[in-house]
Amino acid sequence: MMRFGERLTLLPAALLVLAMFAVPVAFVFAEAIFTPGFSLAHFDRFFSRPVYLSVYLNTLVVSAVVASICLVIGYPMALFIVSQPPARRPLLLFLVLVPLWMSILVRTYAWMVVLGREGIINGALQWAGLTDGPLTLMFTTGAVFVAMVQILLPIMVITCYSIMTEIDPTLVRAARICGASGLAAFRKVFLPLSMEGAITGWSVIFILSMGFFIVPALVGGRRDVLLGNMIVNQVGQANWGFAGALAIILLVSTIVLLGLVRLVMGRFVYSPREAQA
Amino acid sequence: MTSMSLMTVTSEIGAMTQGRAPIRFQNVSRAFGSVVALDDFCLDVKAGEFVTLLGPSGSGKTTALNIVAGFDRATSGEVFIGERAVGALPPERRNVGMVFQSFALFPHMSVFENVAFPLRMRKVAAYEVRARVERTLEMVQLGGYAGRRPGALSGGQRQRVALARAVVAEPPVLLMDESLSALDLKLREDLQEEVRRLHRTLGTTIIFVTHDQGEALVLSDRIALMNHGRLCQLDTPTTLYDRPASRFVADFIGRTNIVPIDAGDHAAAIGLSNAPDGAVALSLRPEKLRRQPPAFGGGFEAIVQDVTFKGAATEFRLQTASGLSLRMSEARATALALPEIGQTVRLNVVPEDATPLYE
Ligand SMILES: Nc1ncnc2c1ncn2[C@@H]1O[C@H](COP(=O)(O)OP(=O)(O)OP(=O)(O)O)[C@@H](O)[C@H]1O
Ligand SMILES: [Mg+2]
Repeated sequence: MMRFGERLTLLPAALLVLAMFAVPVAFVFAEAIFTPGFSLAHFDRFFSRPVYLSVYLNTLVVSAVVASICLVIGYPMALFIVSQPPARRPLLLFLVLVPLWMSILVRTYAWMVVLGREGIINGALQWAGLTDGPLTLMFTTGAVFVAMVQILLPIMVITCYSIMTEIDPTLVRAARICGASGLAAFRKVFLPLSMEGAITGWSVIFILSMGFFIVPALVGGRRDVLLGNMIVNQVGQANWGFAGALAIILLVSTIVLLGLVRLVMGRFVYSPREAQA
Repeated sequence: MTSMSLMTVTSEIGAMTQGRAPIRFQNVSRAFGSVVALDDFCLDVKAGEFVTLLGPSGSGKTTALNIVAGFDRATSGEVFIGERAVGALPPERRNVGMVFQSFALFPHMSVFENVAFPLRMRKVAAYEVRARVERTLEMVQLGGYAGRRPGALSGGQRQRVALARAVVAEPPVLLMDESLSALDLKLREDLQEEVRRLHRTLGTTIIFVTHDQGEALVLSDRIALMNHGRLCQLDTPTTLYDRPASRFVADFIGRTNIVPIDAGDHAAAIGLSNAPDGAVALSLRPEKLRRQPPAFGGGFEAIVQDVTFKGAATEFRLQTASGLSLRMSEARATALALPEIGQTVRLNVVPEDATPLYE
């Protein structure tokens, strides 16, 4: 009766998921289709108005771009850290992780200080005589990307780093002695073996970005509206039914997209779990 | 087995060192901070020879191999493969095959792709890759396994794949670092057989690293015994066993009795008073000691302290009247009755069987 004991350990988590996720989602879903009476009108409204669709597409694009920028910056950072002697790695990881200890709100306000009209960057540019007047950095799409990437980057570094430390360094040596240059050994051996970490990092950042609303609201322009902002707006106007519909759409599209990523990954990307197969 | 066709070589050093190549360590030193891993190490390995680096842990074997492979650089001195000093070449341009202790197979590639890897890196044509990979897999008795992932193989099979990958491009030099140590005894013996056969078939120069002296004795043309980053003795297995040059060698290869010459007249007490000048001790192998029937005269007496059954042989621990402790190993075919512990036995040795040690 070992099985029962094993399952028992999952009980707190299962209760938590039930209370904090399944039940609220069910309520939201009910809200979306039963307010005021049973109908799919809220979904209909979403799919028939170009404004909403463009916000939706914008959310997908911004999330994918942010996740990709994080990948392009974070993967090489992780690579650099694993290439360092083990004694130096904890300090580097620590430096990567420090920003995670501050709330997103604080970090976003910090970006306002940096990017504002009288902010650090504009001040420096004018002091150096490179520009006459202040540049518009705040309330732009660029500011949204910069802030989101800065906030989410540590997650990518950690995910890539942890999979890279799993790779036996002898494999790279083996590739070299087989005739592969440093670059070829990286492409043929290290990259495929670390790909799963890169994709996992990308997925996590994509999911988190899909739900972002503080950053675009504080540093973005009028057009930088994500699905999250729209939900906040609708809730603010007490349009519970429509807000619920938006939330469901967000949830479903995230699940579908990640499903697709997993599918592609299962096909083309090596995962250590296969090793036993 | 027919000898394999020489590969179409694209790299310039491939052309230079084709077939088999001698390897020379010329006064190679390597220091890690204050730790001297290799200390003025000199060794000449002839083309086609099988040389084993043998020595206790930390004696610098892996360091020596890494310097040949190009994973590490000598602090001073130079390594030659063929005629060429390779110090400045990266590993991929040395045309060397290597088998690692941890197998180091690429887990995301099939057995076929693993073995094909060195050929692909050398830009060998696809049809030739197929033919050569299949032939090499046959050679290590893994004909039917080309499509499997390494994760689906046993330890012995994995090491066979690693072996195939190391030799498929017919490098003139093959390096093996503790390559069989991760396998259990039975498999290890099978693989030793395999390695010997490959060496005979391909004629490659092999440097093999182990700290298992049994393995070294079985496999090698010559053994380079190392200690503290230095070469202690380089000889054939029989010479190394029969004529060790120092206490360290005598003790490391097989088991032996070290009989000191100066202190306490031990040597004379057991009838070995003819040691040459300069010798500090004698090495006397346990199997060279012989019991004789008590009725015979001559020889010397010793008290039996322990008797151990070892399969084909029986081992004794003995103590002579002068207080010298000796090991004796006796074939079980002997007609003499087994003595009890505490009993006195009469032994003799032939003076020629004792090897003088000079340090
Ligand atoms: N990267 C390194 N940094 C510092 N010291 C090292 C390094 N590599 C080896 N050493 C030291 O050099 C010496 C020789 O090491 P080496 O690995 O060559 O020994 P070995 O003969 O292969 O031993 P083993 O049988 O345990 O594998 C050891 O004292 C070791 O601690
Ligand atoms: Mg070693």
